[in-house]
Amino acid sequence: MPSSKKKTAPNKKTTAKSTRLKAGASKKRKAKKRSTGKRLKPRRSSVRKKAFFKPSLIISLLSLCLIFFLVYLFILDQRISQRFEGRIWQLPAHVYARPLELFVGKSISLKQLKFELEYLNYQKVEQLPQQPAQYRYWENAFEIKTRNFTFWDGNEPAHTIRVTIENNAVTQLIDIYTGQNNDLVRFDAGYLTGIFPAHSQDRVLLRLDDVPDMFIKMLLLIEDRRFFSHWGVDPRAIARAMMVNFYAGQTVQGGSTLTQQLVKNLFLSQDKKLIRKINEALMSLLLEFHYDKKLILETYLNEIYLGQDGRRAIHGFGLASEFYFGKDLKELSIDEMAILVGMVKGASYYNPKRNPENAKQRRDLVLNTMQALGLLTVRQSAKLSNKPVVTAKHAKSGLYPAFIDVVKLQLQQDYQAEDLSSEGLRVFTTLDPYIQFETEQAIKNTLPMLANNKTLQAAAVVVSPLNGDVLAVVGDRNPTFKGFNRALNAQRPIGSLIKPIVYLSALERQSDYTLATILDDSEFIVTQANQPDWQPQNYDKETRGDVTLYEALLNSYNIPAARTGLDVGLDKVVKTLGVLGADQQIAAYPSLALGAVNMSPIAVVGIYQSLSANGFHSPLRSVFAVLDKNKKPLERYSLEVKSGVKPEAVTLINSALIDVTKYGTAKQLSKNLTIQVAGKTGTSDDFRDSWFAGFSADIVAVVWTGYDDNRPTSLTGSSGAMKIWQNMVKEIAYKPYQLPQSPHLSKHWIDGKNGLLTEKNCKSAVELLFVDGSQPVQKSDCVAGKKSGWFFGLFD
Amino acid sequence: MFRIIVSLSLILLIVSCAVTEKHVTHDNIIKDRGNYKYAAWQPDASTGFEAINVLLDEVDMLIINQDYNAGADKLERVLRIKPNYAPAWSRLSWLALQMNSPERSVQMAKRSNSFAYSDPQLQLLNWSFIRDASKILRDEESYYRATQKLESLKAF
Repeated sequence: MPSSKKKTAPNKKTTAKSTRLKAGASKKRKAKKRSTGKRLKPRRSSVRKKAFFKPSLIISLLSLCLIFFLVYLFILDQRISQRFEGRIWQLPAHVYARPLELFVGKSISLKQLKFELEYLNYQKVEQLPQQPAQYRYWENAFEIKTRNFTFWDGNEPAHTIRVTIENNAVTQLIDIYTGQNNDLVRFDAGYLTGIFPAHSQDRVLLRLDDVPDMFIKMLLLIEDRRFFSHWGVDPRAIARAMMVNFYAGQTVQGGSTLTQQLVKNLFLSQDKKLIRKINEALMSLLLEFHYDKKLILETYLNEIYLGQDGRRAIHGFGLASEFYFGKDLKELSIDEMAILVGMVKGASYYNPKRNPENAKQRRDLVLNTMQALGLLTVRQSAKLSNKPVVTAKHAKSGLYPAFIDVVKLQLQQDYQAEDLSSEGLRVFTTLDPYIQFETEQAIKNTLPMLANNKTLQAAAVVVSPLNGDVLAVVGDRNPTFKGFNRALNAQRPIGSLIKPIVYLSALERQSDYTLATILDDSEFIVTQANQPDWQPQNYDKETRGDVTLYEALLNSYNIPAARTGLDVGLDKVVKTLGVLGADQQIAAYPSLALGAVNMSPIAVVGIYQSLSANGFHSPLRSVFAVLDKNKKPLERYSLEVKSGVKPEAVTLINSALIDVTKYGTAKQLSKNLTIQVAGKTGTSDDFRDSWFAGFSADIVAVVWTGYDDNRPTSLTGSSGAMKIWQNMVKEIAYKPYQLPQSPHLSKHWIDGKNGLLTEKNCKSAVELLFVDGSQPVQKSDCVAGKKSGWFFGLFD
Repeated sequence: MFRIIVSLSLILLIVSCAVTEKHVTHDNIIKDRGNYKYAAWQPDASTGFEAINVLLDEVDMLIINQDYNAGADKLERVLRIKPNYAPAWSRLSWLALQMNSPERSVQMAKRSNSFAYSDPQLQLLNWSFIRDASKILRDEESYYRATQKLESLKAF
């Protein structure tokens, strides 16, 4: 301690002196040290220098480095084995539309069949179709070769058929090769979309056995000729690439093997740093050390990035083949294979959809290389090079967001969201692409005629009367909008759509109510405890005294409906709604009888499906079946029916609903449609909601229009939603609605003025349906009021 | 003495077989799987669709192989071709019984009857399914009604 004090004292004094003085002092101190014989320090230093170069230290350091390196290799190895021995990819669920089935007698228009073939990406050819997914047509005949496809109930082989269509029906279905009748042909199911994981990668897994030999040869020829002989890294290829790049003055060739490309795509970033290249090489060697070449090749085939479809990234040759050419890989022609192989170099630049000229040049290069190595003859190569680049017409993914919402809702009952986006499920839905297309068109084309603004919204749902299969869903005026789905989530007052249910509740009491029952259409007030009085009014503010139930429904009078609802009991109306499929809580207020209950279009369509099926409700179904990634069935959603109302009462209501479209509030329909339909208009207070619900024999459809902010539309059910419904049904419905036959029902002529029996020629006579024994007994005195004079009198 | 007892036993057995009402039950349908089809299901010319006959043949094969789910799938395809084809609904009712879904069986039989107004033989068969299903469901009211309906249809 004292010595240190001695040293610090002079330092304090010399703080203001020049550095030269400091240097002088330092030299003196060094000299002093030398003179005092203290030589230990310098000696130690030299010993250290010698020790530093000692072989044992070098070995120790090298050993340490080696340990670090081995640890690092171990970590890399763990990364590889974790990925390869676990699930390599998260596979999105693939969602398919319903398959088209053809048979003699099937209702289908020429327009629809053309649409279906284009939708399925079938290629139009001039000659007899030789390859799957090809067709040609002239006038009303089609020759088609379908694709082989695996469904939930087995495999459907490819068929080569001739189909003749006359008067919107298949009249002939022949196997072209045998000339025999083909009784039933099921087409492949069109791909709708995927339910993707967060990274939006999509792929269709291929097994190496499913990949054509020619394709493998072509790929290895272009990308990695020594794949089966190198160890993951190919020094010769690297040297060759370096030479080529050196002479070119830029990077024109890569020396990466397929294994290196796979490692880069699976584990590493795309940057061009040295450390990444070193990792790539090390991991490639490890990968080759651990795994079979065939597994590496198969993984490469499934991993490679081959383009973008909106948010969806196309990975692997399996999906690329479907996406670009609408075919399985094994169905591709050599020139199409060459296009895909060419894309490996640059998926965007050589994209055959976006840059067909670039894709063609690259394809020709691939073909020339094949020819140079004897895989193709000169003639073959020239012939293939002359072919144009033809891709599948349109990518369809993400087109039906409203329908996919319904699918997800159903699947969520059985699957977790994570499984849906990672297990590679194949989901077969009930969507009918043609009906969906026409529903979208009807909304897009009709809305501008209803309001000259772009805020009037619409939603529509179409289902099958038979089984409640959801055939089409539109949830926005822009059908591809992925936002608020009005078909599913808009809860709006249903207005007069409830009246058939009110009257059905009454007609179930067969001893009290028939279609001819006289109802009181005069004003009345309902007084309620702790509630303001309620006074229903008719649409035109008029009252008509006595009207038949039939007439009240036909013209959608409010007062008789409210009286009937109160008479049969609002609880009974709620119960009937439940039996017909409404599964929500409904408050039994008096205004319920006039439709003061909020429902979504999809809830309403469920109720009307029950009416169309004569009271047999089928819960709505948007998914038929789910297969796992190996195409093995996981889940099957079978047809269900539930009955809870008297079928005869439903038939009576439906007979009146047919007349609504002929003589009632929807009478315009009978003028504009060629087939008989049944339906009901609905308008909520102040024209805020315009509804139409109706059915033919083959579809049930509900349409809603209105504003999201609930402002009045100035549209009634018939001037708004019905117009869309009509334009839609004109294109999608083939079969007229017919009342079911029943031995317990019969028709009688009734005087519309008093509900009594009368003759056909009575001026106010209407022919109504009755459950046997419930028809009026008393006769009307309408005989004097004959329909016409002397002409009909001749026949009397 | 032994011969007399054996002979009497045989006679009793034959008589009891003769007087016992023959009705189709869940059990004997299963036992008779190889020849399970009912006359009321036989397709007639009125279907108008050859495709239906093809599918029904496939249904038969599937049922013989006890692949009831696949059989039901094929029957649904039949109904998509002809929704009011009552025999297909009836077969679905029978299949539901085989698959231990008595409630479903009742509903399918009712649906079949809603299209079978002019076919008493099929109605009879459907009511027998409803009766069998009601028995499994222990729904006495429905069982009683089905039995009465069967009696009245037999009389008809």
